[in-house]
Amino acid sequence: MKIGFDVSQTGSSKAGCGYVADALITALTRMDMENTYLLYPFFGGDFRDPDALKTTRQIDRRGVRRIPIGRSAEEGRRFWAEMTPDKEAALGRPDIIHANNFFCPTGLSHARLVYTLHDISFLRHPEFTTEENRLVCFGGVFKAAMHADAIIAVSDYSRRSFLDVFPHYPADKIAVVHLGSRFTPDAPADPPPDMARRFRPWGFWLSVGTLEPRKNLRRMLQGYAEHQQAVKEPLPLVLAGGKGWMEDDLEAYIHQLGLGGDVVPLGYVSDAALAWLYRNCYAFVYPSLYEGFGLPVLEAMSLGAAVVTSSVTSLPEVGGEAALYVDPLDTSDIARAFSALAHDGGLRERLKARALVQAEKFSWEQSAARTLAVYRQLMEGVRPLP
Amino acid sequence: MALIAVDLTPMMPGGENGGVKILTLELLRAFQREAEGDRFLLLTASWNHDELAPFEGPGMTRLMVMEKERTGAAMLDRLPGRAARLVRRLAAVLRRRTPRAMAPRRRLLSSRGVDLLFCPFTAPNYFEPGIATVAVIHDMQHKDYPQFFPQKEIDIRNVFMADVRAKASRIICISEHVRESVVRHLQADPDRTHVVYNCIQTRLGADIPREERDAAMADLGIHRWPYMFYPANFWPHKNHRMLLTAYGIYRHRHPSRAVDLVLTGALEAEERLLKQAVDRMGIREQVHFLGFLPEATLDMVWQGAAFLVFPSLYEGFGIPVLEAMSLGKPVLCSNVTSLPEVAGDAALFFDPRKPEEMAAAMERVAGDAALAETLSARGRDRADLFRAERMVAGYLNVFREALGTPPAYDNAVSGVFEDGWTGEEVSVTFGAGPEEGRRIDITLAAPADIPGGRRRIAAVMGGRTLFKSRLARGETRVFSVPISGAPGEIALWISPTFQPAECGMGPDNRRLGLQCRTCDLIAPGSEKISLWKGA
Repeated sequence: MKIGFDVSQTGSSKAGCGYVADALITALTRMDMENTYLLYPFFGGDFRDPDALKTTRQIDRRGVRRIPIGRSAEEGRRFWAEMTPDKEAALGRPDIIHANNFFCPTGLSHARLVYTLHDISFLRHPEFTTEENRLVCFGGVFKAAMHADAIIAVSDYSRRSFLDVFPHYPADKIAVVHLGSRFTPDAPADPPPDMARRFRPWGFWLSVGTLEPRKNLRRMLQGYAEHQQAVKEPLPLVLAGGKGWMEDDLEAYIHQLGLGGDVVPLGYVSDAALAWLYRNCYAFVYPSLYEGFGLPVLEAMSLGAAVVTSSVTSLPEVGGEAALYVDPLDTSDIARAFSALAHDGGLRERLKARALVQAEKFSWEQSAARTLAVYRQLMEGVRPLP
Repeated sequence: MALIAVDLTPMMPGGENGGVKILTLELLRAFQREAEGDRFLLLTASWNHDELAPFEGPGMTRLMVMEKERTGAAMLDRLPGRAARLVRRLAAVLRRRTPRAMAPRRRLLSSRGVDLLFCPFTAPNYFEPGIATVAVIHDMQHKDYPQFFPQKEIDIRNVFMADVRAKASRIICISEHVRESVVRHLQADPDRTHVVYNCIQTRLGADIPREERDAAMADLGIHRWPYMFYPANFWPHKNHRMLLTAYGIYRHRHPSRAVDLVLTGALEAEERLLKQAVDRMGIREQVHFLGFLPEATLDMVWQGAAFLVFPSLYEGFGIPVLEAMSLGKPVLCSNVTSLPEVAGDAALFFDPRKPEEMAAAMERVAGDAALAETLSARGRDRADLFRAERMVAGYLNVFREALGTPPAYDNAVSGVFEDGWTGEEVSVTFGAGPEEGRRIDITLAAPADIPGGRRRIAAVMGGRTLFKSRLARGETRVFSVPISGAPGEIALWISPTFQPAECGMGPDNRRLGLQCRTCDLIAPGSEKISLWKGA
């Protein structure tokens, strides 16, 4: 079978969805030598990466081909607006198209459509995103609800939420495939010199994620400030994550809280730096308001970090028994978690040990195998009449 | 006593103009009833002259000033409905004519003794210096939701909004929401902008005998009522996909008791997508697509409604909300843009981005008769605030103010796109200044690669031709025009114009004339004022 796969967001400045696509296609093409994979560096008319041709995932293996269609924004919009048999031919006539970044093609006549559902936060908390982004996400998920032959939800939480909003969608066509961590605890871990120079191992708190309102950074900072007042020598708080949206004045807010010297925004960091940070943080703090999965939690655990995260949405599904949970809306609760860990080294050690055990329940190999099973099931089934 | 010209040329047959047409016709009816002493000259076009015949009477006459064009039609056919609607609204800005044919237009109003030009469709196409101009702005959606418009349409809207700003003595906004947007985005003088609310439609609420209604409903394929109703074209800001999503949730929760959903309006591609969705959702029997309806049928469909659901993401006003209130139908509507201002305390609001919240609102009003009764009563009370007399008085007041103050124009150039290309007409307006020694310098260039031969340019000021000239391809020239101290306008007509898309020059299908490099207002003893600095 020929599998067409959206790699459009796997370029150099990838965030959540891009990491997922990147890790999944890498694992799939490593594990599955039988099928052909067609990679699409341009997919849909929105979310265009101008460097897609150069920086998106390339896989050098027999049976893997890149098909760049829709290079200009104009051409992209026109090509992806509505599929036709000619367009499917131009895409290499795939048997399956796996859309994984919100955009959902329609009008497919040969290919079956698999759609990765990340989350529906934009339907419950539209205030967390820009209107432009919300429209793109909703457009994609709405079309998927009408046209996807199978949906892969990244968590049971996302699956249930989707079915709440689209109760008509056949529940048996939506599978849960968890994500994996791209870090492994036994990988060589040379400290990148700039990080090691700036931060003492176990001498800093860490939080990770694109700077956007959904990540609840402001309440975390308030909780941190509250905790800080009660301790003599507080550890600094390191923020790793690229600029997102609606948090442009975050630095001003940090100063307003009087945390200028203690909070260190690093911006977008390399994988090596991120791994070092996860491994060497005192604890990883991630009180997000809404997640479809919560990849940073798993990544932190896979490198043995003690994790504080929210008790809401998909996060308990990922953190299991291994995280310290907080109410993300309650800044005092967040402050208490900082303090509990700071004062109780034993708690920290227990969380670190459990983290590694919990992380072992997830892997990209396992995710790829489940994804492949969805493809196979779909190909064996009879295509439902439109 | 004034003679008021009303530019109706952008009005299209059918429902293409949306609420703007409804408002305009309502205004004309109200002017007939209420505007004692004033006379109205309706400027019509071949495609609406007959439709406007019923308005002909004492104090109101028609004058056909535009005929169907051959060149434009092909282009309009290729544009999606919404784009076509706006481009048609702009037909006069984009049309192709020779300077000779255009020149008399500048005396169209003054030669007939017109005192004021009223532009209910916004663009001041028939502007003449010295005659007060009042334009209505219905929305600034292209600023808040640019993603709903093709880039070209945004360019065009920017051009004609700038034109309004420069030329209109007064701007009427149909809500405070629009007025704020106009002041913010256009930097329009707040003292020249006014809010006049739309009024309740007199077109609805007829007594329809029961048998007649039942038969007509059956013809429409409706066998169960009451239902929830959403009258809106399938434009993206109308948010139909979210409505269907919410309706699916509501229906799922109340499989046996849920009321049907009735939609009117048209737009082919999106309607196809929505119908497909309804099929996939298994609610084909419960969701009715009635298309564009004539007024009498619409009235009947309104009467069969249990309540209005209005999930729009953007409104300048929201006429259906008024319609529902006046008919005593409960209103469920979005809590954004102008809608809270219009619906006041007489609606159940929801966030139009949250389908579950919308579904809960449907549930509440469908299941709670007391709530429905309260909303209905409040709606009727509130509708009283939007009586036609109030609206007409508001418009006539603004007309009086415009007539009572000498026209003041911005120092501005309009008819030039952001990239420096002109349309076929460039208009330079200027305010009052010193009597001696003022001039306008405008630099025009004919790029060497434009199709066609030399460009002819004619300049007209106050109905008088200033000069005619030619510009060869590859040539750039400064045209210098002396002006007096009075405020006024110079219009330049350029011919021929071309559409790059039709000449194999890419997707651009604007109609273009020349490149405008600079335009300056020069007065002795003061710094030159740059009206256009080039792209």
